[in-house]
Amino acid sequence: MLIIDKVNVSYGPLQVLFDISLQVGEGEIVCLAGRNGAGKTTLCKAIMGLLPISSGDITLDGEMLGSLPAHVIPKKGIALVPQGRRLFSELTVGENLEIGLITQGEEASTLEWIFNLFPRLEERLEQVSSTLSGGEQQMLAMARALCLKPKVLLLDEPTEGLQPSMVELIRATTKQLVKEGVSILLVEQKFEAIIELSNRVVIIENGRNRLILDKPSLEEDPVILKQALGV
Amino acid sequence: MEFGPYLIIALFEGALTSAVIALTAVGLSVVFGLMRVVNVAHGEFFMLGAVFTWFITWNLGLNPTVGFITALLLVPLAVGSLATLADRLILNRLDYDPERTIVATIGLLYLIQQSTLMSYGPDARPVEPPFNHRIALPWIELGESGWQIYWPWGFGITTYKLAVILAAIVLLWILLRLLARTKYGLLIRATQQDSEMALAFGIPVSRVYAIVFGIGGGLAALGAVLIVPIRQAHYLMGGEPLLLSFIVVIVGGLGSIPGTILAAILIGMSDGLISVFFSPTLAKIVATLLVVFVLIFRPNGLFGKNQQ
Repeated sequence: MLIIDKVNVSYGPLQVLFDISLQVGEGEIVCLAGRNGAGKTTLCKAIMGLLPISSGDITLDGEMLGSLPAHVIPKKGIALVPQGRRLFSELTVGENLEIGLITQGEEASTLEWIFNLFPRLEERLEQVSSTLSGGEQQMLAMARALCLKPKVLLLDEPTEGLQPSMVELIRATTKQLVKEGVSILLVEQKFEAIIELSNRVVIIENGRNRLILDKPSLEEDPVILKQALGV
Repeated sequence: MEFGPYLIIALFEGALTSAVIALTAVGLSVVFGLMRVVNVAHGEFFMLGAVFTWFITWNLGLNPTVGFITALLLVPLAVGSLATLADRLILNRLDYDPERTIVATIGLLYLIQQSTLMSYGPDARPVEPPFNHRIALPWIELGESGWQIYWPWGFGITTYKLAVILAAIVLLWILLRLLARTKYGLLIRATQQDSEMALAFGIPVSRVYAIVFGIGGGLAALGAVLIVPIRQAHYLMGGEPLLLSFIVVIVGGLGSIPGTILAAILIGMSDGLISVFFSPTLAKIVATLLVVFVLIFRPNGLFGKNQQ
């Protein structure tokens, strides 16, 4: 279980997260929602150790992550699919996957699993990743993160800018991953996606926890979520 | 001697300069491409390579060939280790900030230069090449009785210079293969493209930086080991390779290794030709003018990408 407890993060003198708390249980999809600039991506970066936390705790299955060097955190079982994909654009599809595999160290079975989820990538192994379509790039971004065999996957707006068929594929894959025991912290702004996928929604505003809604509350009164998202 | 043989000698001297500049400048380029650090002390790693080579070949009581081979193996490692130490002690602590690292490497330049002056002294000292045979070359000319082969006086090359050119080609080929085909090369290329994502995928970025800074220093030292039997070791000898490396890296495109190699060939050849037919000073003026034109018309160099 990933527990974020009263985390504060600053960019230099400017504090952007204030006492943020949330939990992601095993096999859960927790959705992190909020308007642009609310601090969702900052929180993902802080979890990955890419931004230092000034106070608070981040623990995964009881192990403190906050004090670990950033390059150690992926080995503990957390992987990030960043906003905008951020592939290693000059590397081939195969090399992008290899980066994740080097860290994780277990090649054959992981690749087989990934190619079952995204068969198209197997056909494109030698292709330079910047020449892939937007949807294929998103598949690769997810596949690269899955090469780490994560317990918790941070998905930062994974369907942003994708065509509807690709959005469906990414959502279906997300559900499949949860069935396979991967926990997911999903940064999402689309109302339908949040309703369809999440077990819980944590809404943040100006870097602070504003509201936490569980599935029954969401289904009972979706207007609260709409208001929080400004829809 | 006729123009033709002169031209061949000029091209050969140009190839020698290209070979040594390419090795030295690729070191600078790899460091800049990965870390965005402009290493002003790069020429001092070159100088240390030459001085250490002199020390090994003159002070360890080895015969010239054994001494030179020992230097070829040990000196790049020693200088590379010093560069890695400099990364850990200085650049890492400055968080690789581009402006502050320029000032810091200027300080490092003077630290290395003055330490060498105090310990090694101000004299230029020779290093004996492991082998140095002269190969006379023939020339063909149309005479009264048709095409004739003759041996112009002074027209030839030395085996050592030829070996330096071949060694540089082999070493650069190995470096490119290592970067393109090995696991460590892959980690370096990934870190070069997006260091934050590299961290997020478990690559120890600061360790990669330290290793690459060591490789950069080691390559400069390797260039010096190869050239010192031709040019002597001196505590101020780092200035010229630094200037030429900067010219080559800017012309080739910051961080682009193929661009750096191509620019080294261009600058080295023009240096050889202009030095033989006119003067070495004019060769440097032309190289510097080339940088000015490249900066005006192609600010990112011949092979560089937009750095914005």
